[in-house]
Amino acid sequence: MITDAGLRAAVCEAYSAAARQPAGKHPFPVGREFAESLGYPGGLLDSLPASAVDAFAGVSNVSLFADIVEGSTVLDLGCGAGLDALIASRRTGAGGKVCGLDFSDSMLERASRAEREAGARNIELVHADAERLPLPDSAIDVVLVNGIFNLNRRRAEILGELTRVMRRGGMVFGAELILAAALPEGEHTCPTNWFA
Amino acid sequence: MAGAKEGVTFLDELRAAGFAEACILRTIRNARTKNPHVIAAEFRALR
Repeated sequence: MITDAGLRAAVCEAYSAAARQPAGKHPFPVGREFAESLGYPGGLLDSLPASAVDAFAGVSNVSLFADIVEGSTVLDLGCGAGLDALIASRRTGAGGKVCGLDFSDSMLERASRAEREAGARNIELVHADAERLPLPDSAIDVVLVNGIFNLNRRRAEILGELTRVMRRGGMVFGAELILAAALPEGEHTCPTNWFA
Repeated sequence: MAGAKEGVTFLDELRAAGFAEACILRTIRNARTKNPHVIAAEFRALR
């Protein structure tokens, strides 16, 4: 069985490779066509920097179905290239702020470029692990999380950190892979199945 | 995909972590993987 550290490195490398070469071959879908298939309107994607759209690799259109009140403080946990963070930035407005957090430097480089191109002044990008959020207690109103729990065995630690950094009454909106039926014997332990 | 859990289990994890409420809003096509045992779910949790 792959170790936690080995899994973390493999996941980080897989998503970093998608950031470096979005049009390359990856074990999961990446990019604009995929984002449109999940319900992000083409017109909205046209209005956002290609550097964010081209490397999108989420599970659903979380930043669209989330309730984001203007002026709220939003955490995009596992922000990747920044598509959801950019949309949240618009929705929360100048009076709010967005923290986009990811463990892939390559994804954050893309998100940073997208942030500059979009002229978004209310986004802060942070390099960190989801299990150790460098954020104060009760600081976050809304958390967006687009498909990261199935990629990490230490989900209890991630959820513990989310409850710590969120204010009471705050909301998490997310999308996640779940099992419709039990996996056949051995599929949990096969390293390649973390992406399959 | 190997880290995916059943929906009820996932919601229990959220509640155990301290979320007051947790629910699945809808299930959707799993576009990330081709595994027939896995679907995607949109969810919401209240701190």
